[in-house]
Formats: sequence, structure tokens, C-alpha cells
Amino acid sequence: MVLGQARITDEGVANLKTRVGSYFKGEYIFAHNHMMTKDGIAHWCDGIGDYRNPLYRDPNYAAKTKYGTIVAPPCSLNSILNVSGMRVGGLPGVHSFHSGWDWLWLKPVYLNDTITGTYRPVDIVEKKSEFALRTVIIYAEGIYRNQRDEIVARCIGWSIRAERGTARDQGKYKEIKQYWITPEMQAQIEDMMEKEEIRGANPRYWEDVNVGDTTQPLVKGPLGVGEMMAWAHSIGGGGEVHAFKVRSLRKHPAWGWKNPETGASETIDQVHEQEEAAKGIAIPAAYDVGAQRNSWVSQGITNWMGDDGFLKNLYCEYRRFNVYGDIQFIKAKVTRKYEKDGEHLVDMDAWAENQRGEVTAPGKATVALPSKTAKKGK
Amino acid sequence: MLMPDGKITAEGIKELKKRIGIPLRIKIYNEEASIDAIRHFAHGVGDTNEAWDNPGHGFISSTYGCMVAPPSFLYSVVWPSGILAGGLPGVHSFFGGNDWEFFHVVRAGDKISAEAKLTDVVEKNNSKAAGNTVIQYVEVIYKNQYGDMVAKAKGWSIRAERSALKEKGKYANVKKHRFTEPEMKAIYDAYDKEEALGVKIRYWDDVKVGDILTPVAKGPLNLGDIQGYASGAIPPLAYSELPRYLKKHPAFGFHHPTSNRLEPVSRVNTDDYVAAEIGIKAAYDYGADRICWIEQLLTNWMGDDAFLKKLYVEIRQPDIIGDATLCKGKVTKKYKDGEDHLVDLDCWAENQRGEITAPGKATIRLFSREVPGGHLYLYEHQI
Repeated sequence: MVLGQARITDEGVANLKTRVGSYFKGEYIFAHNHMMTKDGIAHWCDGIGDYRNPLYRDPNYAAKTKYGTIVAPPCSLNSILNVSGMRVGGLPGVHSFHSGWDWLWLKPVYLNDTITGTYRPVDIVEKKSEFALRTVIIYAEGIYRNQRDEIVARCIGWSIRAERGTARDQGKYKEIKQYWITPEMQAQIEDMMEKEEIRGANPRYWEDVNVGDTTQPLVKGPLGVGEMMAWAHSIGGGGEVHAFKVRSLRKHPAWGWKNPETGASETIDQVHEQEEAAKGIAIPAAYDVGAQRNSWVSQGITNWMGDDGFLKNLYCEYRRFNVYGDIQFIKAKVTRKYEKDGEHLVDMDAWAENQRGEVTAPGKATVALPSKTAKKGK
Repeated sequence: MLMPDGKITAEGIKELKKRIGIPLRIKIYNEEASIDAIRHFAHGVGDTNEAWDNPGHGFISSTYGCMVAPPSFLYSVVWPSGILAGGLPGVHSFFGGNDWEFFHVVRAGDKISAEAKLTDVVEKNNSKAAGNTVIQYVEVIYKNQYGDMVAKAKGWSIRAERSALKEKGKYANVKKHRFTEPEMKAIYDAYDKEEALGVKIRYWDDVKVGDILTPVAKGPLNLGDIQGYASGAIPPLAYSELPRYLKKHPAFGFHHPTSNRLEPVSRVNTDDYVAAEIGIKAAYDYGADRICWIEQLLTNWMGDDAFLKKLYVEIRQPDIIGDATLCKGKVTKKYKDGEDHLVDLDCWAENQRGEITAPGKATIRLFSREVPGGHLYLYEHQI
């Protein structure tokens, strides 16, 4: 057993509840990016596999859009401040699974905008799950402002704290074997990758959209260490190296696990890269990051909505793990079409589903689309 | 063989030699030395020097008057490795080292561009470790937005056949090290003793030949450390980019034995079983990060106002998962060159087995009390 085992106690939960409502400062609010630079946006996109959208990368292309410059994709604000409930801390040794996001975007984020975030825990809820015995869900809220002091977005994120020993003992995922990809499936996903469509400069008018319309599925996978290394470019990897790691583990020893081969202490985020770490919490293989998968879901929508669309809201829950070898298909479907406050909106179901047909991350989105009847220059 | 096993042929060498002198197509990771990019890079190397973290640092304290990037930052623009020239499909590549000349500091906000050329291809016959090998040399020139050449780097990579590497197994007796509590304590002590000189000035007048630099500790190496370096410096190859790249360069790919997933041969840096295919018992680091660790040793010692003029480092052997490294240095010469007050140093990376994995030499320009306040160094375009 390589990971520290700890129980969720009444004292631990009471301590957590004292943190609700107060704004967090300092070391808990480290930002990977302070400014949405061209490189920063490009690296975010590399990290989630959004290679083709020129709105996020090509200054000459972006200059011709209504933004006049490169903009940052909606979930890239995660590189400014990660709002998952994990930063609330507490319950040392009790594992944390980021389990969902509820984003509200208000304004575009332009190239070289400086963004700051405030962070506070907003609720602590106790639950019993099939996966572990006693669990606690921690909700946190992040508000993002630009250098003009405009609120550009608000994010609610939540994490489920689950006792490690018991999660392993209950073994919900014991039956999962690593998926073996056939040449036919490889050819199919490569074909899907080649056919990835970016609506881009061709406006998707609200008038032309119908309830029941679906987006072209995006494919992500098979998941491997390459994708997790790429994700580290988006938000800085989550763990620290060398001197930073030593300092961090001294301060927060329960954040670490002992590598059984070398005897050295490592950071817990390696559950996303190393099987030994994942197995310590009953997951049969290394698994992806919830925020990463959620960002794939947002990419499915930004690909579809075009340069003139605006993603206003995305709610997504991470219900099942995405382990190495698994393939995720990112899908969305229009469920409602309506006008509100002068905007032309569509609601969508948006989700990730794996090669076994399981929905791993169900979600809902609201998108503002350009209208043929709208006045120019709005 | 799990990975493609290309052969070094006369034809292959001839094809590679055709590229000599022609500008290479390279991928730039950082176009700009933004405050964020400098910090990402420094954090990926494990460099805790506040100079790379704090935009206010250097504002009033150093000769530059603003935040600057460490000299190693250029690795995050493009890694000047011999493999930039490609060639010899299916033949493994080991990064061999760099010979850097630095001319100007990189200030926060500077935009850096790079141009690379293959300069030479040398055949070597029957090395003990790897059979016949080829060494390919590149030269990379880095410029800032004013057109000043900020640095020039020579780099080289050693190409060796994978089956020969597996068979000869030069590193077969290198195993993952299991650290005892006292060994770990010694490493933590080394980490605790690290200190960057920062705003204090190391005067050339006070330096003596034989002076020893405070060692910089790294490791024990874990996958997270390798990932950390890459996340600040090396473009990722993943998602849809991977199959697209492998269609163009099929000899760079293979199938994972547990999932049949397509993987690039760079998995030698992440997966033990892939490294084992070329005779190395565990995943091993990118040699570039070791050179960056040595640069940290030097920048820690020299202070904000000093300038690294030259650095030569050879990567002699891989650093594998579990290896702990101490970067060490020693002053070997003290002299003047015109108006410059210079010191030469031996600098190297040494692992827990006491093996020198990366020997090197450096030249640093220091302030001297002979010139109070130091000389004013101008960019080319300012002269």
C-alpha cells in the first residue's frame, strides 16, 4: 500500500466547514498563467488537443474576426485559476477527485489580457457513494476578472473526497481491463481526426439550427502518457519537481506517496501518469484529469459554434474514469432553441462517451449564436 | 523488436548529408520570453531562484533593470539537438550535448526566433556500446526582436541502431536505485543548502582558482520530473497530432504491448519497458534538462549581474528514473579579456553512483571593483 490512508472524521469535516465563505489567498492561488499570451493560449490548446482552430493561434486569421485578435478558448481560464474544490485542502490523506464544473462566461478573453481570479469554498456536503464509504463533496467558486476589472467568467467546481483504503477495498473498477485497440478502430479514429471540422469563419446562424442537430464527434484517445504530458503544458502539470517537490511534500506530507521502487516521495498527481499511484486508490490504471476531459467537451462545442458563437454556460459532471487505453468520443446535441434578452440561444446536451458506450462525462451547455436578423456591429 | 529497428546505411547517410547547410524546419515552443513562460520553464527545471519568478526582481537591483530569462530559457524556444535534422529513419538518437555562446541577455517580453542548420555528419565505427554510429551536428542561432543574435548553439546527437544497443547493453547493469533513509536525508540536505546569490554581487576580485560552487541537487528522478521539464520546454506530441506525425514519419512509431496504442519512440523517456528495448533499464531523462540543471548551478553562484558567456556540456550517459544528481562546479581560471573580467569553470552532473553523467566547462563574466557599477553592455542595435 503506497498511499497514506486516512479516514474522514467528524473533526476533519468540521474543520473544512470553517473554511466556507472566506477568500483564499497566497500559495493556494498559484496561477500557471497571469496573462493570456500567444504562447500560453497555444500551449493550453496543445494540452487539450485543440490543434486546428486558428481563432486561438493565428493572428492574421483572428484579426479578420469580430474579435480583431486572438482570443482564449473558454476553459483556458483554468490556467489562470483551477477551481475544482481541491485547493480547499483539509482532510489530509483523503483522496480528492475533481468531479465537475459549472462555468458561466460573460466576456471574451483577448490575447494578452491579464486575468486574476478569486477563490473561495462555498459548500461542504456529506454523501455516501458506491465507490467509497464516507465521502464529502467540496464546492468552490472562482471569479475571473480582466485588467479592466470586468468579470469575464465565474466557475463553480466540486471535488469528492473519498477515503483511499476503502475505495480500493470496494473495487468498483476491478473488472476493467485495458482496452486493446484493433486496426479497424485505429483507422476509424484517425479518419474522425482527419475529418475534424472547425466551423470558424462560416457563421452558424441560429436560424439554421434545429433542435436535434448534433455536432460532429471529436475523438480523444486512446489515452496514454502522451496526453497527460501534453495536459501539463496547459496548466503546469499539477505537481512540482525537484526542490519545489521537496518543499511541497515537507509542508503537506499527505500530498505524497512513496515510490515502491526508489523509496523516494512523489506527488499524488502522478495518479494521472503512473499505474502504481493509481492502483493505490483502486483505479486499475493511470487516468485523465477531469478538467482536461471537460475542456474536450467544450472543444466539441467551440468547433461547432464558429467564430461568431459564444459559449455562455457549460455544466459537466465526471461520472466515470477515463483510464489509459480508453477512447472518448465528444458529442453534443441541440435540445432547445430560444431568444432571451436580445440573444439567440441554443441549449445543448454535451458529453463524453467511451468506446464501451458509457457516458463518462454528461453535461449541458448554452451557446449564443449569430442571427441573420441581428443588426451589424452589435 | 518493439520499436522500429532501422539500419545505418550508406544510402541513409548520403540522404542525411544532403541536408547540410539548408535551413531546417523547426518547431518553436516559446516565441516570447513572457513572464509566465520564464516561470514555467524555470519551474520545470526545478530552479527556485526568485529571479525567474518575480517580475519585480531585477527592477532596481540588477544591471538589466528588469526581469530577465535564465540563459537556459533558450531550450524552451528550441532545443538545439542534432536530431533537429532528422534522417536515418528508425535509427535511435541520443542527445550528445551542446556548445553554447551567449551574447546578450534575454529580457522578459523579448521575442526570440531561431534558425537551425545541419553542419556535419560523422560516421564512427564499432563503438563498444552501440556498434556503428553516426554523429550529426547542428548549429542554431537565436535572435531577439531587434535582430540581435542573443546566442549561438552547436548541438549533436548520436545515432545508433536499436538492436545493437539492446545486444551490447552498455547500461545493462544500471538499475533503479532504492534509496535508504540516510541517503534520502543527504539529498534533502543538499536541497536545503541551495542558494541563489541573487542581487548580491560576486566580484571577480574575490574569486579564487579552486573555489567550489555550492552543489545543486536534483531527483531522485521520477516521471513527474521528466514531465515537468517537458511541460516548460518541449512541444507535446499527443492527441490527433500523434497519428498525423506518424503518418509522415512511420519509423518514429510503434504499438504499445498492453493496449496496441500507437506510441512515439520518445516513450523511452516515460516507459521503462521501451527504454529496455535499447538496453537501458528504466525510462531516462531528456539530456537538455541536465544542461539546464548545470546552468542553474552557475546562475546560483554568479548572481544577477554576472553573464554566462560560454557553456559546453557533453551528455555522457542517461539519467534514469531513480537517479539522484548533484551538479557541481569549480573555478579553474581567472583572467581578463579586454575590458571583461572572466572566470572559467569546470561544471558537471554526478549521480548517486559517483559517475559523471555530464561533464562541462563554462566561462562567466563578473563585475570587478576595478569598474565600479560595472560596464554598460549594449545590444548590437544600440551601438
